[in-house]
Amino acid sequence: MTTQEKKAAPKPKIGVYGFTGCAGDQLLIIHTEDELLNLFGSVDMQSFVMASSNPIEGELDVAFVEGSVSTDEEEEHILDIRKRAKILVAMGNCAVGGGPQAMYTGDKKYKERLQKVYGDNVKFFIEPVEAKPLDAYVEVDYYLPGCPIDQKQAFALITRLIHGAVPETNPHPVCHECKLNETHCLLLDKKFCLGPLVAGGCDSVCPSHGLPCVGCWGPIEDGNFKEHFKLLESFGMSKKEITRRIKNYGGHKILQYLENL
Amino acid sequence: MEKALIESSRNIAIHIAILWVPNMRILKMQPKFLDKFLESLEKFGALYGPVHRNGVMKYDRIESVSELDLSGHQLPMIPVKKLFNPKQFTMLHFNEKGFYPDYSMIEKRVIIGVHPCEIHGVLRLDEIFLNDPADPYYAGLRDNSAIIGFSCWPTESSLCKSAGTDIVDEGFDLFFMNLNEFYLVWVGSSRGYDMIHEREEFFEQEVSHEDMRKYIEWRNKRNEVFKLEIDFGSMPDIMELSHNSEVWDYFAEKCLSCGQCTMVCPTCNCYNVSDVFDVTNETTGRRERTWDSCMFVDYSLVAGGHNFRESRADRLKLWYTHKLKTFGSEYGRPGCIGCGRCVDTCPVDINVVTVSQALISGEVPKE
Repeated sequence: MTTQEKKAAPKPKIGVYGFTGCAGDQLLIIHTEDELLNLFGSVDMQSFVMASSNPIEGELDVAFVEGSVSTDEEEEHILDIRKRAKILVAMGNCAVGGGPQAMYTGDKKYKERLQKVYGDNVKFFIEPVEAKPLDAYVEVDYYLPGCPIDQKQAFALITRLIHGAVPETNPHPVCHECKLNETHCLLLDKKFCLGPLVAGGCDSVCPSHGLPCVGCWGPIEDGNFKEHFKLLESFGMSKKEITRRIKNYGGHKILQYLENL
Repeated sequence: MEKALIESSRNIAIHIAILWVPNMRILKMQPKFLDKFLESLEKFGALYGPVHRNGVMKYDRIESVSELDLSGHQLPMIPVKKLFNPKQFTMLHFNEKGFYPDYSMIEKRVIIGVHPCEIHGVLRLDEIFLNDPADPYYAGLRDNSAIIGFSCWPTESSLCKSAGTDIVDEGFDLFFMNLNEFYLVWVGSSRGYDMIHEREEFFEQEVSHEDMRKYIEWRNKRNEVFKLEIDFGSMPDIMELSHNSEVWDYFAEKCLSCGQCTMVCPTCNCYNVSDVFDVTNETTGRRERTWDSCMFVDYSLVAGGHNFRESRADRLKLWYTHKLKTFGSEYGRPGCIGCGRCVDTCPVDINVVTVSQALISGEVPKE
């Protein structure tokens, strides 16, 4: 081999896992038909629960995990995956923030809620625990937010990792994409929208269809929560109602921003 | 010998006639010819102009001139800058051997219905993108685009009279002044002459004194309509004196950092680039360029983790100082062309009017 020729990078060993959630993030990867064969050709797919029933569970270069940790079995599983994976990516809103199942996080009434839904003296096959994001248990290297994740954003991250490069994060609000898509701002009509507080990456899909942003990419650090709450209140919404709506997808990640409002 | 000389001087004369762009000429056109004439411009490139799509006015490619809104009563949400500095595009493709610029988006275009302030906006962007070293994407799109300006009527938010951008004498190929009974048509380039030449039968060469009187009347009437004004001339000093003003803290507390003001501003032009790999083990991919905003927190973040303008007050101060002071010192005219889009767009009323008024009076707006 001459020095001119360069060997292609070795194929990274990948695992894709699903915890508690709708499995929509795994589905999105499988649903990216145009790139699916390329993806399987450029990685060494060891385990992909939705795509294969013959997993190999060993050392991994990258583990993608979707879903929240909602049982003690999943708690053990995430600790095991973390031990085996060099890089851990939290994939989708449930893995990143806990998901809609974590919307009541912080109310300290988990036991009451469980009992209300399942009744007394229920014997569970697997012991449930209050839904938490991956980083409540282990260190997460990269976050791929969304409900479900976005193809463009997901594959930009996956291919960076295939090439051993550092993925980029998006700290910009949904409003950025709204304007790139030339979408009318709902706030100007005094309508509810969480856009300025929420990370973009969805290509502003809801506002582009005249629907408000409900926050499924999770909060951005730079969000001006105080002023945005004030603005929404001036539209006639109560603080309680705004808080309820922002918690739907906010899970664990929203709590710090709602303090001192 | 003599014959040859005459022949060659005649050739020179013909060449001069073709190359020479005479002083601006003004023609007259009856409204009934407008659509037919605009249709004929297809010969010069794909037609673009302001249209309504899903309830939003935007510059877009048109199938028929009947789609155009040339009423002049509204500005598209995103300025015409997007046709020269596209919002998002692939700059180049790369592999291990090198990179290959992608100029595939450059096409011949005729952009119809561009208001005077918008043309001023493009002229200011020219200062940034065409100065050496020129941006090849911008330059390519600019060279291949004809601009057909149209007169307009002030909105509630228009500041173009204050900004001196309510009239325009360069930066267009043709400019249509709509006086209802007829159009006055300014010819601004040799390409503009070629366009006229295509359908000479639509144009009247003689503009009467009475026609000019109607135009002056129209201008006087229009000048009365403006509701807002800014003393742009005194703003550089005011900005200089306001560096430590508490006004910035007031606006910083309100600002949502949504970045909409920068997206809709005709002279904002910042972008970010990002390399996107192909889904393969080979080192191949593309470089994408996307509009960015100095209102976003990572804009002034540099390697090593330092952020020059982490606070919202610093970000706002940068934007307004650039628009009202530094742009002018660098390029001769302020970075605000008075379109009023920031007035219409900011959900919390931070705009060139509220900010300049607060800085001048030292008082923040009443809630």
